[in-house]
Amino acid sequence: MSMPLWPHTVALPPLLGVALAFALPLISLAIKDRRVWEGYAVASTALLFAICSYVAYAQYVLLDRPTIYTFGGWPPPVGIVYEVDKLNALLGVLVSGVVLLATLYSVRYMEREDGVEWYYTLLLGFEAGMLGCLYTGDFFNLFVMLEVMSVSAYGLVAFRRDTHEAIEAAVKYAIVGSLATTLYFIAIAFGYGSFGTLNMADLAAKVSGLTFPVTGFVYSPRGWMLGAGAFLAFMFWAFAVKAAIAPNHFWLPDAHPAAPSPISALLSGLMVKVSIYVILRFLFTLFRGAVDLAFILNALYLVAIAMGVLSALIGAFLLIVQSDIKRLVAYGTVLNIGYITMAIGLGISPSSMQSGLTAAIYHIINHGVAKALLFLCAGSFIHAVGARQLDELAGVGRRMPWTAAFFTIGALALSGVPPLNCFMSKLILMQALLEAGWLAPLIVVVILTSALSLIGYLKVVYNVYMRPPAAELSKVNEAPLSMLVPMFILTVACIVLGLSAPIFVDYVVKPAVLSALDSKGYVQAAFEYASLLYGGG
Amino acid sequence: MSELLIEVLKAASSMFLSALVILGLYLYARSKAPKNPAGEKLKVYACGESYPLQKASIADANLFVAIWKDVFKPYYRRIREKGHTGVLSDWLMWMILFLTMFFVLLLLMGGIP
Amino acid sequence: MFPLIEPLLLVFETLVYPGLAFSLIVILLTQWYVRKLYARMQNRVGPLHTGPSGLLQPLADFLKLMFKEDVAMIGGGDKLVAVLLTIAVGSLIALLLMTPLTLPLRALLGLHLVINAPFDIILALYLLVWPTVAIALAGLLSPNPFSIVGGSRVFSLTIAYEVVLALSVLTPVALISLLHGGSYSLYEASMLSWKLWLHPYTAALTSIALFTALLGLQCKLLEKPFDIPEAETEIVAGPFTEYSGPKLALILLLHDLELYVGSAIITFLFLGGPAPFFRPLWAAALTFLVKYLAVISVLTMIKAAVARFRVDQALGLFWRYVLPVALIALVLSIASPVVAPLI
Repeated sequence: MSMPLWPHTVALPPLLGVALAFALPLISLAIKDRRVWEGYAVASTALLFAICSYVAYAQYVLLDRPTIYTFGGWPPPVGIVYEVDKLNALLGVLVSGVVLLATLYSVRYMEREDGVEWYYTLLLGFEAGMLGCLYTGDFFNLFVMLEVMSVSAYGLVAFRRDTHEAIEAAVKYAIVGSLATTLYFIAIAFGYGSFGTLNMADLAAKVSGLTFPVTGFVYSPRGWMLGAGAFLAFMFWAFAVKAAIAPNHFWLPDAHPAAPSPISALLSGLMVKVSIYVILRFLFTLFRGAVDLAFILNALYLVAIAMGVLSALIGAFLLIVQSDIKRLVAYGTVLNIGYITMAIGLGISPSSMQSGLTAAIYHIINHGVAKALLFLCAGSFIHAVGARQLDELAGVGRRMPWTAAFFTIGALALSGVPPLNCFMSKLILMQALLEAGWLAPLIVVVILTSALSLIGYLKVVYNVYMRPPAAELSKVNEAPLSMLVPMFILTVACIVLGLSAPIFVDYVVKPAVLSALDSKGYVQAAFEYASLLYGGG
Repeated sequence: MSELLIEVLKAASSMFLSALVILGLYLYARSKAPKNPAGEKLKVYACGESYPLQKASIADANLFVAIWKDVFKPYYRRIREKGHTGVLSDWLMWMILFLTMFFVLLLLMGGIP
Repeated sequence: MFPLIEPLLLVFETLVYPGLAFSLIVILLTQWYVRKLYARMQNRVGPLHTGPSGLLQPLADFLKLMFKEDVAMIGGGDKLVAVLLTIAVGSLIALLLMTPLTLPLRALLGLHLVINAPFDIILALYLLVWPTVAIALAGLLSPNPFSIVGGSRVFSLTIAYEVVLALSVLTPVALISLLHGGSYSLYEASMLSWKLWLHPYTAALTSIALFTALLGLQCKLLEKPFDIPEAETEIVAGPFTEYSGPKLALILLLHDLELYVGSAIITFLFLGGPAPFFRPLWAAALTFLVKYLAVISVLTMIKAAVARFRVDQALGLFWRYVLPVALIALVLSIASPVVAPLI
């Protein structure tokens, strides 16, 4: 086993991403040819995708425990560590894959804009931030990476700086997002004050009552439960804002449509999911062994269910009355995040915790793929016509049959039509709701919102494809090949993920769920490195 | 759980099989039927008036959900205007409501030592 | 050889029994019954001449339509509409394979394949949505203002009845799964649903759910008082204005198949299926036939007796009156393990 080389690939994606992002403006000073920048961006995202795939392959096939990388050789809890288990690795592949496809798509999409070198810089920084948030094992480093991700996102939303809508949306997003990261900072303050450590595995050990090298037991033996409760509450609120769970969702329908379409795909498909991943990591892995804090966790699960139901209802009811194609799809994101949050909240009942977590992770993957597909297709239509209102896009699909076909498959997938992918994850969610007994009436919410979202997406398909053309459409042509290929790959992914659902759930999602619930293994991997501090090696 | 997913695939394959058979029946009947596409038959049926294709499109806001919006106008007004006011202090009020709910639940479910 | 049995059985069940061939025969006989009953209620005679007392009339109508000209108008959907309608027919056939209608195969051949897994009631509810979507899309694909308004009205009605139908179907399934161990599966709930009539609490909840399910099914079938999308005096023929020949035959086939499958599911879930005579095959079939015709008669009587609602009246009726009743029935049935032993 080539163990010596292997742990470094865990730290490479974020660091390499940041380095490549900072190198691009310097290159653009010397070389003024756009195609070099575009090729550089595509090559960088392809390299990051290759590294993340290797990490996932190794985690799933070769290893059976989480991998630790210690920065500078400093073992935990003294230094910063990156810890990757199957859950992170799976989501890392999703993130880097979709970013690669969006970058390939941006090459032709942004051909009329200038300032493109800053676009690719921010894009690479965004990807580096997301991968850092996913792979990190230290919750202050999580804050740093969260800021890297968010600031790049604010810049990307404001990219069309000559339209007032983009600037307004970006300023709104920036203010609310900064409030959220400040809340997380307050949470870290409570966490450090109660536990005395910044390492995630150390936190998991302490709440279970174990001791960890150097930091020993909890820092304040009498008030640590109150501090832990405050930590969890502020952390949940901060990431609920970032993940757009109602009532914190109000920035999303302005920010996601105002961004350029490939960026909307990344924001809706990936960034909100990374925030959900953080909530998953804290609630299901780190605080799992905490028997003293069980009532806090149960209260949090109940709040998650309430907020999830509210998100789903608001998303669905406001989705069907929109007339702007990107705003409609953005409300669909609020709706699906509602489903994922309901799945998280199912942890309240031990019989349905595993199915709920399976539904959440599977829906993260399915929704990421399908929503990215929808935004990319919507971007093709907007790129061809130049307008976003459904009345002005009427009949465009007849001149762009491939894009319209991909959009229809994506819309059918997202409304939950068997045998496409989102139906399978919604099925597991509804099954988990029925298993939990007293939560069964919530299945009505899922059915109602599925029906409403089906009608909303069919409205778009009707306007784009079936309606007679409103304006003169003879200049509209099919999207160029480099924009069609990412859409085609995502469509194939939707269909394959749906048809191979039994195999995919058993061999890919279930191991990730089991590794997420295995907090002992998570702590054990870091403990072995930490015990090096007591001498020996 | 995976047995349910396998059953979904069985149902989907049965669905497509019968769809194919009925489609075959339809195409067979179509080929046997007389075909004479000419004149008035191909135009839009508008009770005798002429109706160009361009006029056949209804504005998007009036189409699917006009009736739904009409019946539920008071509820939509409540969500859109009173819920999404745009004032950040209102958002703070919502979140304090949720935080209070959280702490009340904490007290009810376990008590804080 | 043995692993091949399953796919062969699936193909046989899809195409012959209880799939396409058997369903076509049942549809033709059901249509005869409906037309006779509806006619008698309107003081007419109904089909009389074709076959013994008009039994072959629906078949004659179907064949007549199949061999008329299928006009594909300019700007309208031709092949796409046919594909959508056939997929909707397929979804209803797949739904039939999930019910105990496949059981006689076990008596005759020794084995049967039924699509059955825990929690597959969710799949059944999803399959039921396809016919409505197909009809609405068929309307939206023709550039005729009557069709577009008709298709749009179908979607408005879908928002109205879909939740009510789902809640009503879930109530007996939840009752059986919580009290008698049915695991939320359509097949097992149908086999055990006769037990619901033995206890007063579950019987009351089942009757409430039966009432709301009948209303929901009537709206799904677009029959009076909910035939708003096809309101002849307002929008000619609604979504079906531009279609003729084989396509119109497909549309009518879809509508009749919806009536058959919907009534069969209501009979299985709410009325106990072939209970109380399970054992001799002919007795079970006869009991099931009597209950099925009772459901169809009730639906036809509602159709003959009332006038048409306005679309906002229909939406208001479902959301303000029927939905709370169905929701309370479901919540009470979820609470049944706690409440039922007290009564």
